[in-house]
This record gives sequence, C-alpha cells and structure tokens, in this order.
Amino acid sequence: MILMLVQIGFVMFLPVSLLRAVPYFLIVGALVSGAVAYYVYLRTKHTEFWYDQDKFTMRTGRSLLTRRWEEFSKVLLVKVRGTEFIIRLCDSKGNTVDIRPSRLGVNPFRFRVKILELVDRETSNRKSEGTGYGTESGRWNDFAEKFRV
Amino acid sequence: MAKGGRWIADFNESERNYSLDGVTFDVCIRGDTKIREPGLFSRAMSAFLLPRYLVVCYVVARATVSAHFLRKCLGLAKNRSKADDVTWTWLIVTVQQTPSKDVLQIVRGLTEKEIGLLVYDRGSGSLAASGNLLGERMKSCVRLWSKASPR
Repeated sequence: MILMLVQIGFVMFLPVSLLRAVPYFLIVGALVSGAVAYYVYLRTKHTEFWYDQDKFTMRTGRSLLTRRWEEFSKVLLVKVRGTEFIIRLCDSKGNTVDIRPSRLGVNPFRFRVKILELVDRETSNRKSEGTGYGTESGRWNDFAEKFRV
Repeated sequence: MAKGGRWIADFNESERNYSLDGVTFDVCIRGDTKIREPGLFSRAMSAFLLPRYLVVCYVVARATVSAHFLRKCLGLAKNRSKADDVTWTWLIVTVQQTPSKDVLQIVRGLTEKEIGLLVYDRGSGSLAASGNLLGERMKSCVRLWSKASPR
C-alpha cells in the first residue's frame, strides 16, 4: 500500500521531463514489492512439514511445532471458507492443531487417511458389534475418498 | 463435502471412525444449512432465507448388521443429536449381505421426522429407506450408489 502510494505520488508530481522514467519506477516498485511480499510470506505463512511414525514437526513462518501422534485422539477434516480443507488434530484436553494440506501441496483427503493411520493404528480392529470391514478397510478408504467424506 | 450430489447442507466437518458408546461409525459428517460459498447472492439468500439447522450424517459400513445393532445405532444417533441440538440426522448403513426382515422392518417402520435411515445392500445394489421425509429424500439426494460403489 505504501509502495503504491509512493508510486502514485511519483507519477502525479514528477516533472514532465522525467515522465519517460516512470515505467522504470513502476518496474522497480513491482520488484521491490515482490521481494518484500516474499520475505513476509516466508516469515509468516510458509509451511513445512516433516513426520515419521512417532511424531511430526511443522514449521509455519517462524514458529516451530513438534508433537507426537499418540497425543491426539481425533482427526477431523474441516472445510473452511467454503473451499479449503484443513486437517484438525484434537487431543484429549481439547487442544487442536490445524494442518493445511493446500500449503503443503498434498491431497487433503489422502493426507487425512495417512494421518489417521499414524494417529490410530488400531482402526482396522473394530471394537463395535457387527462383522467389521477389517479386511476391506482399503476398499472402504477408496470408496470414501472417491466421495470425499 | 467436496462436490457432487444435490445440495443438502454445508457439510464442513468429517470424522472417520467416530466412536460413540462402544459403536464405531465409519464416518460422521457434520454441518449446517447455512451457505458459505463465495458469492453475494448466495450469502444474501443464506442470511435471509435459510434457517441454520445443524445436521449430521453417520455412515456405518459392515458386512452384515443385526436388528439389535441397528436399533443401537439409531438410539445412539438420536441421543447424540438431541444432546447437540441437531435438527436433521441421517444414518446410512451399508452391508454386503441382504439385510434380514427384522432390519427392513426397523427401516420401514421409522417414522420420526428428525432422523432418516437408509440401508444399502452393496451385494445386490438395493436400498431401503425409512418412510419419513428424510428417508425418502435420501434416496434421491444420495447418488453414489449406482455409480461408483466398489463391488
């Protein structure tokens, strides 16, 4: 915004003889804006994610978060702002950690299944009544993933 | 949640292996009837015309279900919905073997308007829905059965 105002000021109050240099000011402004914006993005929004069988580490901007999968009891797929999906991990105390697959460049539905497997490795053995789909969990996952639930 | 099917509600939260009192529902999807899509007209219509009803859909996938299990699922779903002030509840049960007459009797005998029940036989492709409005609408709104159900 400030850079835009500076550019507007330059254009409006620049002497006529220097008008030929205006495009160069705009180009410099665009380059500087891009560089500043990229720097701000790296410091606030850029997300990196590492995980293994026991824990995960997520860096968002300058903040670093490391948690173990066993701390969480729920994995939710939440739709926000109408189109974006986030994966929300909930622990027993009600604390949540949001992971944004769009910033990681992964499919949110498949990523959710992967995280679910890491959080709860006992989902294939159902404790409930009825003959479970224990041996068909892969087909169920394909079925559910196709319809994005 | 993502696309397809007729618009029923804005389902915005999905949980797999949702455990409720010893019963594990394969999927639990929650949402409400407010539109959150981008678009001024959609949002205006949602704000002025649409009530905000909480809705939830439970999906249970088993090879076979008994009448006792189905009654238990229904009871748990109803109690949970009552506790959470959910207005509409759907319970979808998919099985691989033809459901028994007792199960079909439960399905067709369900008349409460707050919960819809649908039992889908993946083996034969047939489905039975409850006789209330939610159940009847489920048949036309849920289009996934004939197209992509893996057999």
